Amino acid sequence: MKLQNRLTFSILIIAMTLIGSGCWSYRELETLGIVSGAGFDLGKDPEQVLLTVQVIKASKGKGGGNGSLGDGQGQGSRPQPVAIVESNGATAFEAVRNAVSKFSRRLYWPHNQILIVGKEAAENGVKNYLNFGIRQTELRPTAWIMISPGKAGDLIRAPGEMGQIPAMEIKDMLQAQSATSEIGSFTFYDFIERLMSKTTAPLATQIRLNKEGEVELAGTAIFKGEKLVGFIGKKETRGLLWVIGKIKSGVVIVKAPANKGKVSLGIIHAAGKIQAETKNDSVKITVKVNVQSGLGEQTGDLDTSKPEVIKSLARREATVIRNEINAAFKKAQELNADIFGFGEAVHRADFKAWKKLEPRWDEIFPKLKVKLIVKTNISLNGLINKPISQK
Amino acid sequence: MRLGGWCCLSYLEQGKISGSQLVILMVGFLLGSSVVIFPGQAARQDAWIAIIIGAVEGGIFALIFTTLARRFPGKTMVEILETVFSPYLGKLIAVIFVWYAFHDGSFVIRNFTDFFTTTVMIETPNIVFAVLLTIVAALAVGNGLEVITRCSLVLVPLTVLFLLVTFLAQLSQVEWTNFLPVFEIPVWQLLKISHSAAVFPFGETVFFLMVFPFLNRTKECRRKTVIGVLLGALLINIIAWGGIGVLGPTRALFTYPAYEVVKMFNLPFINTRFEIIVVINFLTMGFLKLAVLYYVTVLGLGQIFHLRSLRPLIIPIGILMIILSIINFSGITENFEFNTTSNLIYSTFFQLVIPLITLIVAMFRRLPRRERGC
Repeated sequence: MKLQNRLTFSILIIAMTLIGSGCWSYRELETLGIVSGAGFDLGKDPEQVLLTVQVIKASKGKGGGNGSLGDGQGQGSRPQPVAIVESNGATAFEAVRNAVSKFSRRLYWPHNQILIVGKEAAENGVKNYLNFGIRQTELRPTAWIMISPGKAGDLIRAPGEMGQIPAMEIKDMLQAQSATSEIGSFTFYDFIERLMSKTTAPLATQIRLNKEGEVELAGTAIFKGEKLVGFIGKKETRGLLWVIGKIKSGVVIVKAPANKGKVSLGIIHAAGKIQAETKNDSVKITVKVNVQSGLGEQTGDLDTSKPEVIKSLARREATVIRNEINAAFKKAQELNADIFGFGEAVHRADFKAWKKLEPRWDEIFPKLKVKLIVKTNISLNGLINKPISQK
Repeated sequence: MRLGGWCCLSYLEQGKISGSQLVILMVGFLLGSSVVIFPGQAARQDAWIAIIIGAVEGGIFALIFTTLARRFPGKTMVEILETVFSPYLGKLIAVIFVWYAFHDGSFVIRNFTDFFTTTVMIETPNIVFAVLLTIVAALAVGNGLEVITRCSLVLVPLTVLFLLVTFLAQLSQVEWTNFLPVFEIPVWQLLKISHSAAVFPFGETVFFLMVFPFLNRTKECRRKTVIGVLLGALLINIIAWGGIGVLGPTRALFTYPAYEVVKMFNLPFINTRFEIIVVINFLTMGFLKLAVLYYVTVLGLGQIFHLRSLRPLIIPIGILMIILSIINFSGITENFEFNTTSNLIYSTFFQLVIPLITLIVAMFRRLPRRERGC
């Protein structure tokens, strides 16, 4: 390399390191307000958005709770590891920016776990809050979306039970729900995916404060378009999850034949499938649910080593599952909200017919007849094969 | 024949590249901006079909311009144009062709800066990314074709590795029903969308007309171009499959679906936030694409004006390219609008019409025979 080249080269390298490695727009941890959960409500003026956020106190952390530094919350025994900030704005974006007038730190969103929308706000339409959430780079579409039958702000304010960050506790609670599969968990992203379809009803987890003031997950909130239309309970929620194939695990309780107590069946694997057929504008939907389960316990004294006993238990399990699905379906037809995505199944099967059916789907869906095929199989007995009883 | 090639070969570029190196460079060139904006998005779940049809159409373009290159071995597009048309008319068309490379390069810079300022570095001004990228590309161009090719030998396998790893990792999140129904888009519309995939990026390989003469064996150019286009189509399709399968209907919402796909990652224990991989992919592939276009512009101008060295052109062209990238569009919306509308006709003119007319005129004038002996 010539001397001149070498000179220009080194000047360039120096210039680039100076430009490239600067501390431009750096942010230190103690200047950030890390948001762990956010709630949206209607403000006093219904045109306004009321935002309540839970901000992690990063400097103290969850471990430093010996009370002396506390700010008096929670009987002075343990300081809450979070601060609550409330702000108003004409839009969600403005409300977020307005938070600076009440809070010393800039809100930092990537660690946001949950997003709660209050009932009133949800009934008016959630697009106001979601569009901002997905357009901004700081927010993650993997946050969980929940609907509260009351004010979202109250849930954000509710203290955690373990003295940890409350939003994280709610998130853990939600993720643990796969043990029963009675609560559906829906990310922000799942919600928007359903919202993109004209017929499929978006879903969100229902979260509420029970009488004791504890946070509780209680079923599913159902939307029609962007507007909340109703809630379904835990039983119907599981009926819904069977069909859309979101059951991971859970317990099905069946009554044993001849009143010999109850039997709990643990779900090992479950799969749901929707098939649609169209014929001259009439729609035929078949739902197939395949469940494999294992014997978890029995309170009576059935001889579980006999295949016919197992078969009859499997039949009973199928009936229970069918009832759950039917309950969900009935509720969905009442609300006229296609929570199962039958419309999209028709679309996938026959997009030409769907063009004609789509505008009329609101009339078709409440009268829709669905063929339900539930196949159950009890494949495992557990460690014991016989009832615990003297014979 | 070989002697003839040598004496016409430009003294502006002494480098030589092999056929397989060309393939790798071409794959990197095709990946370019496509690693974040995969073509054919308007076709919704049929995007992957649109990409395949687009690649076939791009392949047809490639057959036409490689026929031209094989007729005039050892000559760049600028020299071909000057021989086929008279020197004056030829120079005029060559200027237009070089303008296209220049313009396309400014698009790459624009896509690059837009992507960085909307995703990772929101508060940094556009111009910083434009200047940094162009400086690196200018260094590569100053060092000639061989160095650009060597860069691609390192960067392209890395990107391919990243693409495959992210593709495998997202397989668990793919909803297979998202691919249904197939062929929902009416055929005419599908063809229009695949044409947009053909002009961006497959047809852009027309710029390699400035590179073919530096191949070890110029005659190989057709086979290698076809292989390059096919490989590029496969890789872009991998990106599109991920986008369709993972994102489903929401794909239509996002400005950069490929980035969003990786954002959806949720691997147990390793956790999330892999999207910086996409940023790295675009960083390297954007550099390669810009370097090739920049090089084509500089070399083309050098040959048009019979310069003795390319050096004096490099920095001015870079500055002009940055300026053009800024004044091209007022915002990202106009950029995308241009790509889906005007660009369909604008690019076809350079990718298909100019090579085709040149080829036809050359055939009528029986030109390469007369040129023998130089």
